[in-house]
Amino acid sequence: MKSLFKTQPLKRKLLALLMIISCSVLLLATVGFAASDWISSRGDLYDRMRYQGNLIGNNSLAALTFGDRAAARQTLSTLSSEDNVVAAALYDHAGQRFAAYRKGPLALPATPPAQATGEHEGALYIVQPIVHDHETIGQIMILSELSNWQQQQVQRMSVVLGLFLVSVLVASILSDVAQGVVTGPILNLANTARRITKTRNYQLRAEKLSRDEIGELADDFNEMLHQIQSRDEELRSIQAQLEEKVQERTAELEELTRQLEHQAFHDTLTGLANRATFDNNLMTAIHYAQRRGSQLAVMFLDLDRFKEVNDTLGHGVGDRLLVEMSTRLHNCLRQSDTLARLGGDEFAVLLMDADVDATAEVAHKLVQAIDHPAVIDGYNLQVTTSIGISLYPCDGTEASALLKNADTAMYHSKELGGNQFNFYVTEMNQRTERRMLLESKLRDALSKQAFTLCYQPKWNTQSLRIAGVEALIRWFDPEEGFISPAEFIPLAEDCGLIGEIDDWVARQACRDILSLYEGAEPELSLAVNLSPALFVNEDVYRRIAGTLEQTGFPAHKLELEVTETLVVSEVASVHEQLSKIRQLGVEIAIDDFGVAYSSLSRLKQLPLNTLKIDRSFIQDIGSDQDDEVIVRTIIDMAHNLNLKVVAEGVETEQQYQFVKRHHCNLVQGYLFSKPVPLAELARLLQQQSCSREPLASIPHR
Amino acid sequence: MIGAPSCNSGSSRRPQQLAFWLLLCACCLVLCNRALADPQSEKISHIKAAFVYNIAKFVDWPAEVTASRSSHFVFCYYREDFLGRGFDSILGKQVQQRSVQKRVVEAIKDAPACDVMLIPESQLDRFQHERALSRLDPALTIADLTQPGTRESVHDKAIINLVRDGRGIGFEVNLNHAKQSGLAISSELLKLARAITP
Repeated sequence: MKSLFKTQPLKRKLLALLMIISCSVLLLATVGFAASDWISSRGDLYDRMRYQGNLIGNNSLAALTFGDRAAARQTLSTLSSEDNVVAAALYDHAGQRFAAYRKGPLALPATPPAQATGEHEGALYIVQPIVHDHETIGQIMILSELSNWQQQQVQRMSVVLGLFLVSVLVASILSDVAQGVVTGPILNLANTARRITKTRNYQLRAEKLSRDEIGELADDFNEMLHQIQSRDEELRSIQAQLEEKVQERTAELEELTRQLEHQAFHDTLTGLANRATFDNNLMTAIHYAQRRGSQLAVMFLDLDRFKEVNDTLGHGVGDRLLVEMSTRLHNCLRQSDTLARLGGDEFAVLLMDADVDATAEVAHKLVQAIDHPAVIDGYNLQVTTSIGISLYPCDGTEASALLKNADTAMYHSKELGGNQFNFYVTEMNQRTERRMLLESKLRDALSKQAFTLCYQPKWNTQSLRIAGVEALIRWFDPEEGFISPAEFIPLAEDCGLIGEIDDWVARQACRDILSLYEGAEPELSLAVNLSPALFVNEDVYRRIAGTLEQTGFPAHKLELEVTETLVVSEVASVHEQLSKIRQLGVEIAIDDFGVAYSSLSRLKQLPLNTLKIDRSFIQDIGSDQDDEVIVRTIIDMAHNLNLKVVAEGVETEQQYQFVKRHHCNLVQGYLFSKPVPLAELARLLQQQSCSREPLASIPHR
Repeated sequence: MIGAPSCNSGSSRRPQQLAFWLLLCACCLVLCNRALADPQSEKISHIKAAFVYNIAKFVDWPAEVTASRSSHFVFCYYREDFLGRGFDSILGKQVQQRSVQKRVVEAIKDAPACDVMLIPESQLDRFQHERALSRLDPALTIADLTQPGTRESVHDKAIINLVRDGRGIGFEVNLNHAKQSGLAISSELLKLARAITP
């Protein structure tokens, strides 16, 4: 019951409580009223009977006093007009019935009852004394029938019951109204709270229906809603910001994922497929070709001289050049072909359903596409490509074999001067194997310092005395014999060993020359070659300074020969590094000048000391007038720029006379001397010091 | 006044006959006393005493008179105690909360404190005569006219006359006398009176 009550709505609870209270009060009031009325009416009846008794008694005083029964009966008979009285009797002072009156068959007692009031044979009675002059002269007994009184009581009870029912009805109506008044604001609050819970709309407000505690509760509730709304809006704002940030982060992550996915399968710089994608496509293509019995071609491309560009002009220019070249390559291929950048300046091409002729045609297009200058950052850069081609299935059935053979063929193209393509043939592997063998031997030789130095003397053009020497590295392998620098220097550059080799050459040459003079300052100037690759790391200055410090060689007697392509690059760091080197007192010469189209302004800006005219120009003196003009012009220009000029590769008297006639400062070449070991150089110097004649004239004379 | 049968002997006519009648009356009185002394006459005396007593209870005296009276309610016999031992039945009772007492007075002037004046039929004339000469304080005058023959003549000398009513005793009320005396007689009493003289 208690739990049933708890589950009822507040409205019903309150209504039930009000009804219970109202009905209880009404019932109590009704019962009280009925009891009071019953008692009161009974009392009234008794009072009336007493009154009647008094009246009859008083009127019977004389009759009783004088024993006049007739008069007494006559007096009693006056009660006949009283509806309620059914009998009456007078008793004398002795208690004997003196006179009686009956309206019905009711029997009267012979003596008066002891009780003053009570019931006798279903009738109410009263007995009271008759007093006259302070003396009880008798008693009177009045009997009143109950039926009338009971009927009257029933009528009254009916009225009371009717009133009770009407009161209950009114109470229920008033209770309903009262509970509405009380619960209305509460239900309104509850409905508002429920709507807010359902709709989550915190802009809703509870209507204030009263100014009592519930009204204050509505105010507090609304204030609470206001705070919730404010906090909700704040949270929404924060949530929106968070969502925005999450979206941004998600977009960033998606973009990053896309980039990572792209990077995983594409080259970051050029956007071409990377090695992994190429390998995957190649394997797929092999399976495809296996099923269809078709051919496919794998090309391995390498850009010739790209390393020089990259080393001299910097990675930025190199990267842009790679992008340009990749675009050109891409434009030559079909949609079904795969072009990938394998790394550095190496590219690979996969041609589907390609026979030899079609492959050759495509390779030719690729070579042609690369073989014209590209303008990058104002530089007119000329690179070529070397392509090696392997075919499935004749050159291999595995992806790795095909790629390796194409790489071999590419090296073959490179060895042939580049700017060409070659199909793989079995013999090519031998070269590759030799290259790998040489790389291994090179590392071994470097660790064992198995290199030797020869010195190419530089002769004063006029006096023909040795003014300086150019240190040249020589490598004698017990198995291979002498290995040309033209073969192992590029290999060392490719292997990243050139820095150590150049350092060794510089240190050893300085020590050798110093050894010639036994601690005195050398009269000869020493020139050593410096790879452009060293300038990439911007530590050339420290390397040279370290060498000078370690050997004690005078800086002004040291000359570093750098390539013209390094000088041509307008990279600011090159200028800075050369300037630092010059500040050490070391002179700087441009080797093989004239092949890289240096500009005068550039030459003027750089801290140079010497130009060495490329041997290709010197060799054509006497046979090519253009080259003679070039040589003459270079010499004049160098002098105008206060630069010394060295003619390389002077092998004939005519060549010597030409450069001498045009006031070239120094000459070197087989006309005067081949590169000689240190001992031979010492002998030459000894010979020169003992003779006043120029040494160079001796052999020719 | 409506008379009731009386038993008194009448008035003297001549002086020489007076002694005779006095003697006769004495004889009669002796005979009456003898007669009263018997149980029947004693019962009548008791009834008369009860009548007198009860009547007194239904009469109201003026308040100033009651206040001036003593604590005894005095029944005075005018010259004759005609109730005799009958009075003993009411002796010790009270009227108006005053104990009953009896006294025999010889003259009206000797009866200033009498609440009730009981007058035998034989003394009515004398009483009337004396009253005409002297003033009587307010008192209920009751004349005993119960003797046979007393109702043959009109007696209106007392306020109440005790008379014969068949075998019983009744009474008559003279309201004029009552009014002149300043007494108020209860209507209840009047309802039982045989005759009422306004």
